[in-house]
Amino acid sequence: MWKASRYFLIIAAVLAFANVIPYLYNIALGGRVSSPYYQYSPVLNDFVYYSTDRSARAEYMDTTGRQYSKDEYIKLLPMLYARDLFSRGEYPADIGGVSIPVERALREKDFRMIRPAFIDKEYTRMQIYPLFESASGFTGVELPVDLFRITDRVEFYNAERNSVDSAKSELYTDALAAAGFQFPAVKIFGNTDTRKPFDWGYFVVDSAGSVYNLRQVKGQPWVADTGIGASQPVLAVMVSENQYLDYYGLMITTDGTVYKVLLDGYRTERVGAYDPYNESLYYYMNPITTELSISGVGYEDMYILSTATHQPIAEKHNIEGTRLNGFAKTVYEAAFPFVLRADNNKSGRDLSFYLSENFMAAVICSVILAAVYGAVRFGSGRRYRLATDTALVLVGGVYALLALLLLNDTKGKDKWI
Amino acid sequence: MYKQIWKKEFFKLNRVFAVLVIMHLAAVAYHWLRVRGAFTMREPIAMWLDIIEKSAVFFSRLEVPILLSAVIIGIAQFYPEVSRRRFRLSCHLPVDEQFMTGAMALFGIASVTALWLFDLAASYAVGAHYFPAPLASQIPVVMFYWYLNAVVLYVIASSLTLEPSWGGKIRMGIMLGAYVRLIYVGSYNPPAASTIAAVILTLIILPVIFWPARRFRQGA
Repeated sequence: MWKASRYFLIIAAVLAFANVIPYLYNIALGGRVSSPYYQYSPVLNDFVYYSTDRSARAEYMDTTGRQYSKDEYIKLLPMLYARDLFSRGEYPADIGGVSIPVERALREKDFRMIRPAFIDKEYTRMQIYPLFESASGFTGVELPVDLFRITDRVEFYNAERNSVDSAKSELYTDALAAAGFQFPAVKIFGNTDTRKPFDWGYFVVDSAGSVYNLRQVKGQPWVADTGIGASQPVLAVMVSENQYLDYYGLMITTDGTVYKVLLDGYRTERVGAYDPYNESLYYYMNPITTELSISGVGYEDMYILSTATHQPIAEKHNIEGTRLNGFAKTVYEAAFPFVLRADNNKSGRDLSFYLSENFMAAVICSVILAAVYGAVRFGSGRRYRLATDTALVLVGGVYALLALLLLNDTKGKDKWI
Repeated sequence: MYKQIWKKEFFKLNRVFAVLVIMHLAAVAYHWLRVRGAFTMREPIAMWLDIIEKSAVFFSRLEVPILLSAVIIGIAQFYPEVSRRRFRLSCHLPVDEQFMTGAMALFGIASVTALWLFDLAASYAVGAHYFPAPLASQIPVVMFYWYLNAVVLYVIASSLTLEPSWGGKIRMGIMLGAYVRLIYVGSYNPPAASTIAAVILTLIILPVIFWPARRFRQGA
């Protein structure tokens, strides 16, 4: 263990350096990322955008380079700024040849930002939920007295007694089983926020992959087999309780296809597709257009569809800036063969391992470092453990080199070896 | 000989350990009073839902005591060995030096474990009384990460204390300082891969304590 402890110390240092050195490098040399924010204007039938400089001064433009004032700019986006335009008496009677009353513009809209972290959160969230009353007779939603979880049965936990409500649990378990639900439940999705006008309940995936809608109506269980089955394996359902929309919410399948789950018999209508594990999806729907903006590291792809027909109207592909550019980025990719990132998120802290984006350059850099290190050690006569130390530099790159230099145990005649 | 080494460590640490037990008792009592106070102010269902939706760790005030205790135990256990060069004398005892170092480290880790188990039992008791089983069952999961972090801190504190030269302490501090960042998790229901990674990271750092012990033995 005496001898092995040296290598464990070096490995521990390499892991720590792989986390902290790239992080410090980014802080020290990273620049400001200024990405223009593109939107589709139904007035111009083209994209418009704004960007801000270091002093937070906004610049509004269209793709031809024409500049606008802020007042002119919001007139190009009457659906998005309907409330502002209406309050000024400037809401247009005609938008791109279509008449959309301001009431419709204000009601029939939906925004969703679905990041990979959102998907992660759905899966790491504590699996216990409030089942709201769907037909309370009131316009708001009130907190129930219990929370439920669904695994191989339904269990309601009464908050006043902090105990399982056996009768209610049995009632809901039996209702689901009677509807054909096959326990155990695999996933459950719903909107747990009380700040909504009513409740659509939960979409629960059973062990056969079928999706059921579970609600509480007048204190009794209400279960519907949606007909969405194993042929569309569900990754997530984002429920939107909006009485002016014709759908329950958006559903993403494991292959990344995005559907609307329609009020009409839970039919699904394809909206688009993306990589839900690595990309973010921004969904914005108004009475005229539906905007899908798919963004990953360094890029954004925008697709504009007709809300009525889902036919594509326009698309735009943008390259986004990164914090590191030019020489600083080249050095980063070559010097750091791998990076351990400890990211804080709502479900805790994720430890992720990333290989260099330019892995070949990183390998060459490590080979050069190992060769120089080995040659210096060999030339100075400090040859004990030379092969293993050089191999460590080859694998661990700059991190291992730094660890060995800090260890400083090969001075003179290998005093501590 | 194993028992004798542990007995020696017990005599060395018993007062420090008693103080730490009092600190943990106070922390647990304060935690219980704060939870009880919160439940007298708000409806239980609102408290439950608030914690679940925000992934709020309602027992997080027990994290600092266990991490602090690990550092204190590491220093209290090895500082007397270094300050009076007892460690080098101990190495002349009729026992394998590595075995002796391992037994000492094991005693320190066992002390940290005992304090952690006390915190765990207390916070679970409080949690199970006020919160539903699915939430209370997550308490050991989150606290397990704190335990791993405490063990890592113990190893770092012990190693830095045992390292004979100040230059070596600084260099080792730079090498291991950021290691703690890798193990932390702040919320419920972490993925199994995170737990496995945290256990592996903890196992990697455990043998590091033998490095300064060896340097001390060889008269650095």
